[in-house]
Amino acid sequence: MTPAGFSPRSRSVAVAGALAAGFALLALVGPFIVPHDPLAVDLAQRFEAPNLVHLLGTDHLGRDILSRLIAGARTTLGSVLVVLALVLALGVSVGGLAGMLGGRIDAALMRLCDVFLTVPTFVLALFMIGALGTGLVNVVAAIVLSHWAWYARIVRGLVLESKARDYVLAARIAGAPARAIFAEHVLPGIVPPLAALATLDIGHMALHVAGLSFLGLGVQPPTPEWGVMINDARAFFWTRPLLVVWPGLAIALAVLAFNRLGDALRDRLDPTLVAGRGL
Amino acid sequence: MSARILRAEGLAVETWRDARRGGEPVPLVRDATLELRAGEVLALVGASGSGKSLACAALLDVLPPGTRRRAGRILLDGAPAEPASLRGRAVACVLQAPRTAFNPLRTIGDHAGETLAAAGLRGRAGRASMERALAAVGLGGDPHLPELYPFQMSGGMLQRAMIALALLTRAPFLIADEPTTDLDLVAQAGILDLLAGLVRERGMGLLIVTHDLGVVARLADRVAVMEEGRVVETNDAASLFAHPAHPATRALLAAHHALYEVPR
Repeated sequence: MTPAGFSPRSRSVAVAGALAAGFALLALVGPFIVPHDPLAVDLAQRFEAPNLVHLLGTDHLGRDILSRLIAGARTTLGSVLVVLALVLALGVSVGGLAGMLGGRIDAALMRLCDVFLTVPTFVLALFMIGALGTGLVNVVAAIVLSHWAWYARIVRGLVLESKARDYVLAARIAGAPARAIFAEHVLPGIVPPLAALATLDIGHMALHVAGLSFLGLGVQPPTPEWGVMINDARAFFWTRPLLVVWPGLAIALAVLAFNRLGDALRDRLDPTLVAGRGL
Repeated sequence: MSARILRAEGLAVETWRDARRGGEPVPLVRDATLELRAGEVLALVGASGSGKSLACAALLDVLPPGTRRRAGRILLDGAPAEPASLRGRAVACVLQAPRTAFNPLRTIGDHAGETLAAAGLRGRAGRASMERALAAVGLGGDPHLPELYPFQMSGGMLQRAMIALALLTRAPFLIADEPTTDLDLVAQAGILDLLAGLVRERGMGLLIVTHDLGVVARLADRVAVMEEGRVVETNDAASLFAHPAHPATRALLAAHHALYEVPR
């Protein structure tokens, strides 16, 4: 085994981990450390190149880009966090119920999942925004509604797999109620793969939030958000390309970092690999 | 309150996945009747696939997916009982493979806590009865044993721990499905002695599933022989060994003699 930090593989994981932690930290404390007010308009200082006062320059309204990026981390990653929490809660409860109860309930819940799986995120988002209006809440709802079914299916599969274990049979024979069996024997086994999957999905969902906001469906200006920033900068792409580059870079780095981290987690925690080690 | 007689009458198990797709259901257990009395060891023997384990699973309604109980009823002291209500109350179980019968992520103490919770016992009383049960199976020496994870124990120790869990339920009947198959000979002898002692001292009724006639000769008071899902012969152990009536019994005995007896 290669010592950590020497193989290129583990180094890329370390970099990804550091980046992801950095983004998470920014999202957490961003509003308290921004060098300027991300909403402060100063038309006298519009389109400034990066300098010592505005490290990444200013945008078409003279707002500090670095401050807007830092504040945007909270909007984008915060909404992803909410999405993930809701998706996991829905997925674990529906998938867990289906897997534990089986039979007709299982079949009914899985057909319900199939219905949601047929609707693409963007179509559902367009529908919701058409019906309910634009806004971050609707974007979050659209992403949750189009993603929870994946998790429900995966959780159901994992539950069925652990239900076949001897120790679950032993617990049933000992008279343990299904609730206790789920909490004590099934759930601990499905948390690691779910964590890996959720980490993999952070980047994917951040793209959805930024993408829908870029289209003007999600977060509304002037709220700082990476997708909104790209949309704002679109008009000046030929004259001031850096305005697009900064938020684009933030999105790309966040997606890459969380993907790499999720990959590494999955490699470490994949239930089949664990089984292969003879547990 | 302890029940004295557990009787499974006319148990029948069949596959049912195929039946739903229009195929004929395949009978796996047909009309099996078993009677287990407190203070007595009933051995259930038969070749692999003869339905021994399925009959036991049907008794507790823990049949594997794709099979279902088609007929039969369970009587506890003559009164009909729901199989699910027997679990952890009237009947406890010792499974074949101790290594897989424990959750690798939970300690022995956690497992005991779960069994005790199902039996409605918590806190200090639970702790005390866990210690008594561990001592009863010969694991009382190490006070840190409840903190051990399954991978930190040997197969023999785990099998003893599983018997201790069974004792925690205070069930009057114990089903042991090939409890010694996965163990080495020394551990096997220890587990068999332990089971025999429990029957003698606590008056438990033990149903031991095995294909090892050596185990039967050593332990059993009565023997039921299964073949192709049917109980073909039930007799007390001595008579069965002396006068096997059914061809399946004779075949089992012949195979046993061929394997284990030194030719003279």
